[in-house]
Amino acid sequence: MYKGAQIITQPVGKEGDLMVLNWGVQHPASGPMRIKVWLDGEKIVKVENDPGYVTRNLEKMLEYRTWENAVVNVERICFIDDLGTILNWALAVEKLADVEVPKNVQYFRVILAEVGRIVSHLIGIGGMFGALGVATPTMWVLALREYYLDFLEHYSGYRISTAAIVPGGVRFEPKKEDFDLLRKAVEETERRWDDYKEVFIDNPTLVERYKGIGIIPKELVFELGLRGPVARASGVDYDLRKRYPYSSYEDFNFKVVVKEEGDAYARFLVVLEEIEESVKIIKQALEGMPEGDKWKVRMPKKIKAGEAYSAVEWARGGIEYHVVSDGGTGAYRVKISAPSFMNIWALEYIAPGHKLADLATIFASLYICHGDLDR
Amino acid sequence: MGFESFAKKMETYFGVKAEEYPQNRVAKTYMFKIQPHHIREVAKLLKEEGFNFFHTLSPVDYSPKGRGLELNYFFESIEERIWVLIRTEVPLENPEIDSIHDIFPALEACEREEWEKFGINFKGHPRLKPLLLDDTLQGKWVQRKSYIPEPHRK
Repeated sequence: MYKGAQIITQPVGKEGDLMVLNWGVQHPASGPMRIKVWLDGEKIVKVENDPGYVTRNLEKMLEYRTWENAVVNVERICFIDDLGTILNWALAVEKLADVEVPKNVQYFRVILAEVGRIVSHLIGIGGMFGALGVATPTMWVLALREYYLDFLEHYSGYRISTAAIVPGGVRFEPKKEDFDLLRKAVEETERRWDDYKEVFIDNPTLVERYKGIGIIPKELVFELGLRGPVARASGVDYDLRKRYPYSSYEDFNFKVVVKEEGDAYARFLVVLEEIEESVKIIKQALEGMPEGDKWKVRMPKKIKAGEAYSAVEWARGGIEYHVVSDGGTGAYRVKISAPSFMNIWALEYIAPGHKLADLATIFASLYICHGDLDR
Repeated sequence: MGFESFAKKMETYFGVKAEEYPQNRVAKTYMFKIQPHHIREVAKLLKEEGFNFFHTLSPVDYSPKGRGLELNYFFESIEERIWVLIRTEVPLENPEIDSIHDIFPALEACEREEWEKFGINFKGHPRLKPLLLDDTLQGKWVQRKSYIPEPHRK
């Protein structure tokens, strides 16, 4: 029974009767992060997050960059889906400078953002299986991801950290071969998808370890400001693409995947089904791509003093920037509000009461990226 | 409940009028500039009136422009799809404000992060201790304008 958000801040147990375990920094499932766990036998009594092992303080770095080359820092918030973070940067700077980009650029940005989402979700699914020590599905999703990386490599020259979107447009004009590679990736996804679903969805190992574990009640989503697939798996219909459309998302027909259960398995299903929706969006954007040969609008070197707030639905949830300009060639101040930083704190509320072995699966199902947790 | 009654109460209780904030690209937003010592009452009012979704806490250091530290709290009403920006300013010499982590638990981590980076003392916060930054950067308030990072290359 949910009794409101409660966090344990007092010391627990008498000295010596609980075991304190440092789960991470070197644990194979934790990533570069420490989770301090208080254990009574095998039962988790209290959990404390200790992030900060990959902090780069990008907010400070951005104050020393020009508007355009800040893209390099912004995309390193998380390398797995870098396209969503740069898209938000571009939208924020365009809002500051009062610049509109043409429709074909908006459509191509949607394609790039959805490719980024697919690439990230595939890794996320791989990570959720990886936490169980099941390697085959991880290899399958990585093999599929290669097709999308081929497209990104052909278009931008890089497989990850592409710098493909810039304020005022996209970096290069997309060629016919780029679209051919993307169509090939989409076809390959559709060809394999039924097999993938058969193995993934009713996978007995996964179902046994994920179902009914780490339930996040709907109230906790609002109390902790949880975002993205984590919020949607708990029955909160919140997707910035549908709720506040940007970059022509209102032109596309897709559904927001919402599950009511709120457990780790629901979060897994949301991530899995969102890939299908992203494929749908890419196909619509490829078909309906508007005519136009202008792929970049002229941006001013200096942008007038003012501020802008922008948010997009990124792979892990809403990523939000508050950008302040004082009339210079770069930002005066940027606040990056990242979804993993909000979502990770749910672990302290939901993990107590579970067995230690469940910590890996709960953690993997929260779909954390350490890059945007620490920034 | 709702934005109308929130704006009315803000005017009667604190004498603050709603201002449009068109700089938010996402949604319709109203800004309220409040005194820092009112933050707890305002936070309680926000929660009562349905602004239950917290987005961002964004401090801005305006000390080179002759002002203090500006604090921006972004909230959203899920039902009405209206955003509210609560803006206040604290002096840089003694940056102090009440913590509202017990009203909005989402702010617990955010206040801790901003304490570490700006040195804002959130009174009543249960664990203002290092979160993200390296030990060598603790207490230097790296996000303030007075902190100049050492250049990487000579």
